[in-house]
Amino acid sequence: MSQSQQELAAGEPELAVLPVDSAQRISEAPALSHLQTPKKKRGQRRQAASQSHDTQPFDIAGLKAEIRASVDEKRSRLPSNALLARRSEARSLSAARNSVKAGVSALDNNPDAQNVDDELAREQISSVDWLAIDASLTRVRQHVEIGGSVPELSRLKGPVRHAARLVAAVILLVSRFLTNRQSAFNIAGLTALHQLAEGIRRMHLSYAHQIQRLEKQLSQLRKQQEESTQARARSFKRASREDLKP
Amino acid sequence: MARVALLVPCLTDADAVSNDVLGMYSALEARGHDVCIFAFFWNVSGPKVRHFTKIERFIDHPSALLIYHHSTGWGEALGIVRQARCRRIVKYHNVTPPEFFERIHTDYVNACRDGRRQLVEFARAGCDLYLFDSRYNMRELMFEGVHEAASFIIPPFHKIDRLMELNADLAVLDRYSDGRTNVLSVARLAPNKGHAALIDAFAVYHHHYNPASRLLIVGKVDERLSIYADSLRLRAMDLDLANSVVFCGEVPDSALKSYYLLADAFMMTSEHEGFCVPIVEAMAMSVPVVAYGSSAVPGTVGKAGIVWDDPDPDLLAGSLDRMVSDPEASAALGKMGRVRYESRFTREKIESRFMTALDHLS
Repeated sequence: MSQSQQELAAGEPELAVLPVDSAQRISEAPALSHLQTPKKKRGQRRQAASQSHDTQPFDIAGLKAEIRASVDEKRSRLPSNALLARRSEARSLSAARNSVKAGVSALDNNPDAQNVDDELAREQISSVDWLAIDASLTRVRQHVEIGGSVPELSRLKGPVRHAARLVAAVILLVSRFLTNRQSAFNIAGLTALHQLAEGIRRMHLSYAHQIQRLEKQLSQLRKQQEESTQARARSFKRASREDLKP
Repeated sequence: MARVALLVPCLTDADAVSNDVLGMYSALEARGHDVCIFAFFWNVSGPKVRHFTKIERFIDHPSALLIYHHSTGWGEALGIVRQARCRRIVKYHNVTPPEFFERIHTDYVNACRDGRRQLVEFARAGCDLYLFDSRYNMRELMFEGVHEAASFIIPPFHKIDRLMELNADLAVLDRYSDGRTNVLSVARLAPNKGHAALIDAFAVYHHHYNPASRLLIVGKVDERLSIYADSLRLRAMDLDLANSVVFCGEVPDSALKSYYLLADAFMMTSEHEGFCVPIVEAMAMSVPVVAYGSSAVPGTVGKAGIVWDDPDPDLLAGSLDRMVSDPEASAALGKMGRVRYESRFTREKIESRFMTALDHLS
C-alpha cells in the first residue's frame, strides 16, 4: 500500500468487531427513522438485537461455523442434489423411454414409468437451443445490409487507403441497383425469421407453463386415486371381516 | 478553478457508472470547477453534457483535467486519452469478461472483449492517476503495469441518500406484505450476475426450510439478453418456483425502496462485480446480506455480511434460514451493514476520498 493510500485508509479500519457506541448510534440515528417496515417481525428483530448485541461484539466467523455445521447435518439427511437435478432426471427418463420404444421392456418395472410421458413432452419442448438461434440471428443482423457503408480497409495506410476507399465507394454506388434489392430481401427475410423465432419462444414458455400446470393436476389426481383406492380397500376388508363373522 | 472533463460512453439515470460520473460532477462543481460531461449517448437532464467529439477544445490546456470512466470497449476514448495534453485520470469500474456473453449476444461479447483489450492500452498510457472502485479492480490494472503510487481506491458515488429520503411505494409494500419471507436480489438480468445460483439456493431454502418464502429479483432486462432472462424463468419453473420467484424488472426508486423495506435478507450470487452498489444499498437500509464472495464482493461486504467462497446452494440456503429464524443475528448483521455504510460509503466519505486523491495531482 502506498503512502497516499495509507493516508486514505487510516481513518477507516475494517469493522471486524462492532463497537458498542456505534451500534447505539445507529439504533438512534435519525436517518433510520423512515425505515419503518410494515412487518411486525422486523421490529421484533431490531428489539431483540438491541437487547443482546448492543453490549457485545458479533462474531461473523462463529456464525458461519454454526451455519456450516447445521447445513452439513441437514445435507446428510436431506441432500439438495435430488432437488436441483430435476432437469437431468428428465433427460435420463426420456432416454429410458426411447429404449422402451426400441424394444427394451425394462421400463415396465420402472416405478417412474408413469411420469415418462410427461418428462418426454417437457424434454421435447426444452430441446430447442435458443441461445444458438439467437446468436445466429444476431450474426445475420450484422450483415443484413449490403453496401450500406464503405469498408474501413484499416490494413492499408495513408493515401493508398483513401484511394482504395474511394474506389470501393464508387463500386458500391454503381452496384446499388443490385444491392438495394438484395438488402430489402435480406431485411424482409430476417424480419420474418425474427418474428417466427419470437413467436415460437413465446409458445415455448406458454407450453412449459401448461405442462407444469398439467403435471400438478396429474399428481393431484394420482393422489386422489390413491386415496380412493385405499379407502375402497379398507371398506372391502371391513366388509370381508363382517362376512366372516359367525 | 480548473476545467474538468468527465468522459463516459453512456450517461443514463439508472446505472452505477453514470451515478459515479454524476456524483463527481456535483462534487467538482460545488468546488467551483468548470465541469462538463462528454458522452456518446445520454438521457439525463440537469448536468452540462456535450457530445464527446467536442472534448478536444475543452481540455486543450495543460491545467485542464480529463477523467475517463472505463467500463466497456470504446476506441474513441482511448484515442482521446492518449492524445490529451492535459492531466489525465482513468477511473476503472471493471469490464465484464466476454466469456459470460458467449452464445448470448455478440454485441456484448465484442464490447467486453474490446474493453479488456483497451485495459492494457490504458495501463500503458501513463495517466497521472488511476482510480478504482475496489481493490479487486486495482489489482487487475496493477497486473497490467500501473504503478501503485498513482493508484487510489475510491468507491463509486451513488444515489443512496436520495433513496433514503424518498417515500416508499405503498402499492409494492401492500402487495408483498403478506407474511411470507421476502428474499431480495437487485441486479440487472445479465449472465455475469449469477442468477442461476441465486435461484438454486432459493429453491433449496424454499423446499427444505421455508415454503412460505418468496424471491424478489429486481433488475433491468435488456432486450438483447432476453434469452438469458427466459432461461431463468424456465429454471424457476423447473424447480417448482413459478409462484415463488418474482421477476420485478426495472423499478423506480420509490419501488426499489419498498423492496428493501420488505426484504428479510438480501442475497447476491454474482460471479463478476467491480464493486456491487446494491450490496451497499442493502447495508444502508440495514438489510442483512448473504453473498457469494466472487470478484469484488468480499471487499464491499467486508465483515458486515455472510460471504461464502462458493455459491453452494445449501450454505446460502442455510444462511438465509439463519437470517430469518434468528432475529438477533439478522438485526446485528443489519446494524453492522449500516455501520459499514456510514463509515465507508456515505457520499461525504466518498467525496472526501475523491478530493484527497485529486490533491495528489498537484
